[in-house]
Amino acid sequence: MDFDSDPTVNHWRRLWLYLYCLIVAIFLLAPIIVVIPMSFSPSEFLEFPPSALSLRWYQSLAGSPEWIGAAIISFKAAVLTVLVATPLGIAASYGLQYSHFAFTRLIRSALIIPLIVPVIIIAIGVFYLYARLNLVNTLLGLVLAHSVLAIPFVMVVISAGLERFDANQELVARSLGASRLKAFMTVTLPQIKPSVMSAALFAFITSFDEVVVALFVSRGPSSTLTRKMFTSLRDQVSPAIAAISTLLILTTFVLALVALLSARSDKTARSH
Amino acid sequence: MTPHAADVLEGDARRERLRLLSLSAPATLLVLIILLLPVGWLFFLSFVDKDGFTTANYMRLVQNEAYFEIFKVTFLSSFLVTVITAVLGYPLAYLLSQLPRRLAIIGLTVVLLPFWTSLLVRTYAWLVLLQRKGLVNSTLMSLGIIDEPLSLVYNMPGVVIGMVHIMLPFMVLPLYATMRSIDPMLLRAAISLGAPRSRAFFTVFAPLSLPGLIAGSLLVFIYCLGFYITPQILGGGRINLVSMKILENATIYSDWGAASALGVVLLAATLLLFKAIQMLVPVDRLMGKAS
Amino acid sequence: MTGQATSSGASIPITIRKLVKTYGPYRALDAIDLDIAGGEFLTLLGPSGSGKSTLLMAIAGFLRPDSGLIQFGAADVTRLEPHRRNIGVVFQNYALFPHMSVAGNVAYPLKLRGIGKAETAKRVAWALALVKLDGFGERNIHQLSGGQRQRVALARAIVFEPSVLLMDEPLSALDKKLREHMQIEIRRLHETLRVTTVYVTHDQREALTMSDRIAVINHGRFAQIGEPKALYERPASKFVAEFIGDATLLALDEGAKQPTFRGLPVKTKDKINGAASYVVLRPEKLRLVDKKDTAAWNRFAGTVDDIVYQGESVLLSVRLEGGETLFLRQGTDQQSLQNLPARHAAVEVGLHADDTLLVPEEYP
Repeated sequence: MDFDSDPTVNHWRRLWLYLYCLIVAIFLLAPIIVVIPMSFSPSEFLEFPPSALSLRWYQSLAGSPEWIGAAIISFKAAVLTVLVATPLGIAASYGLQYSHFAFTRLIRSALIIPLIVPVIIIAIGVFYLYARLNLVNTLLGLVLAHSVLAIPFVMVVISAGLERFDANQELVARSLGASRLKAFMTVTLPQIKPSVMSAALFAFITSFDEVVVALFVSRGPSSTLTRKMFTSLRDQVSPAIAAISTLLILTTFVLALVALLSARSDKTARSH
Repeated sequence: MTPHAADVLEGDARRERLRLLSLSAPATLLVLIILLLPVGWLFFLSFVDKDGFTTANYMRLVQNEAYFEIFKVTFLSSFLVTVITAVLGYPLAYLLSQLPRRLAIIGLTVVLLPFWTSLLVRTYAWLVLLQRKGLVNSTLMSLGIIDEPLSLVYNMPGVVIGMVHIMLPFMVLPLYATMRSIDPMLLRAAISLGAPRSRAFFTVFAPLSLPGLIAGSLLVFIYCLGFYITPQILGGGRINLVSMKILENATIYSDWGAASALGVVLLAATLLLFKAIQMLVPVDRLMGKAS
Repeated sequence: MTGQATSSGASIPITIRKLVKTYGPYRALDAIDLDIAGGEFLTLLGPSGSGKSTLLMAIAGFLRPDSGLIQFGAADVTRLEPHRRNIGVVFQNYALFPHMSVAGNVAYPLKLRGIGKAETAKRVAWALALVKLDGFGERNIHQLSGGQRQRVALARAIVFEPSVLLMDEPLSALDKKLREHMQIEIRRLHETLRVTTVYVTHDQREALTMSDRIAVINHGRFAQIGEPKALYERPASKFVAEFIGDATLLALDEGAKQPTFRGLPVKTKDKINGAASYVVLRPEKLRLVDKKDTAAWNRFAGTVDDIVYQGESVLLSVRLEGGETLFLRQGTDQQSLQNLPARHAAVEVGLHADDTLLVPEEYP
């Protein structure tokens, strides 16, 4: 498909298309971009563009034990979710990829269900369960619930990685004397590393950004960052939230960059 | 040495299969306990009252006018968001699918960037932008389009705008995938046969992009039905959707019968629509040959 | 190395008894019996879907048979996991580990066996020298050509002195010249190491070149097992006669007590037992004859259809009156070229009685 030399494409007649898409693109990006400068606004009112630049909101956040506490909880939960969901998801993907039982389709559907059921229903279900197991407001409960939400993402990414992987290499490794597990660890895993990193990233973000389940399961002092943001948003709309938002945008950006770079360096290392 | 009989080797094979399957056991167990069991429980709860088995919870949904209003608003808002997302998303997906690979990837990144940003951040951003003194109003006023600031937030317009923003990637991605897989030779063939480009588009390209459009629309619709966060914040509590009623019943009223009945209805609708996607759009046609 | 099948280094024979593998109603391996001598180079030859790769995978342990027995020497390996069988496997797509260097790949099986660094380095160097890749240790896999990659795969498969070497169409991905070169290399390697080798291919010429014995397999059963010359000169059935080498098979008249073709008796030294159905005509055994020599020759009358110059020989196709086409070759030396018939000329194709071969339809 040669964009520039396709004579049937008249770029001038397409102008409306380009303009339209430009507007949609602005629609998509504007909100995110706007939030950042707003976080530097000196006054309590939301103003764009900010009249001056001030760090007061970042300072107040830094000095607020509640916000920092919430951030730490969110971070802890996300890291633990990665540690739980990623191995579980990898094991499940591998097991389902190479077993040809009649059961596998059933299990695969079961593991995709968290993506299908509306989060609100999952949340009240979890809440109901945890109320009886005394898991409400516990980090363990939060991590377990978030892991369930993250596992399908991990599986989708890892399964795609396994599909692309040459299974013959594992066979060779096994013929050379490696047990299935050893072959997986020494041959397969190093080569699906980019997938593993993406999967871990997905798991992290799924947990870190999660709001609805956290709403039910992490209250008061054990609130996650997202829950605290949610309740503040309902009460007042201060630039402090803009500051948090900017930090969250930054975190996502950094994580995505890390994943991208590790995937890139992996490829270049192999082609030397 | 005597050759091994079939049942012995069969046993070995079965044991190996079980070992492989057991790798998925921890994940399955977790999903079972945390998700499937409670949801099943809820299903059971929806049929239970203090007095025992009852269909009262469901009856209330049908008879109570307030519920009817909630269903109506949820359905209409989801529908509206789906339509707007389709209108905005289709040309965007089309343009992306016609770009050379590298530009398309950049374009997709632009579309996906908000996707990677936290839901709350995006919702908050709209909350700020749509205020009476917010950027949208001030821009419109300075452009002379309006004299008085519009009320764009804590109401339905605000909810719709916010939801459209969130849902756009869900519409664009399946559309893009389908469009990308449409053989460009087909359009060229139509043009060479004498059709002007617009005619070729409507008679060849558009019908082939339909699976992507259907999949995207159903996906957006399904997600809208159960959406809580953005409508709650941007609606300011004035817009009542099914998801909010569920939460209300579960937490404020502790009326698990009502909450679960509503949940079951929502889940049923969701599953039916997913089934519809599966039937109307064979997944391979969605991804095409060039995925 | 607990649980290993056999000690490495010795020439281990392979015994297979009544091996069965079915996929639903389809019998991929139909009660196979096979004896491979220690140190022998045996080729499994057959068309695609014949079961040759299935058999190889079963010997390797990647496939579980439904029933039967596989022995390496005195040890029963049927139920043993692949990594305990002490085998070396070479695949068609090399399956080298891209995240390791050449030396890393070759050292892999040694590391698994707990062999120390110094000894490993020695053996890796030995293996690489054996496949004529001295000094390639630090290279990256991606820098190698197809032929070089295949040699690394070979080095990796033999560095730990396996009991059995298994190769699944390893040369199919290479171009003709390289393939022929590698055939000689693999043969040479085999002479040096004397490892029991099972080689799978669909290329009959390759099989004829490399093997001590060939086992022709079709539909999960062996059609014939024997030395290359025996299979070529004495095929046991129509299938083998057609699969190995070029041949035209003419159907003998039915019901006659003596073999006849269109009424004319077929003279042959072959001791047939009434089960023969076809006479085998190989291009290099046929000659254009004139009226004079009759006694020891079987003659087929026809017209010259086409004359194709093929460099080292001329291929003549002659159409018989019944419509069948015979192919024969003539040399391209000056005298032969002068004696070539013209197209549409009437000729007689002769097959000496000593070269006349009769085969049955089915193999026993």
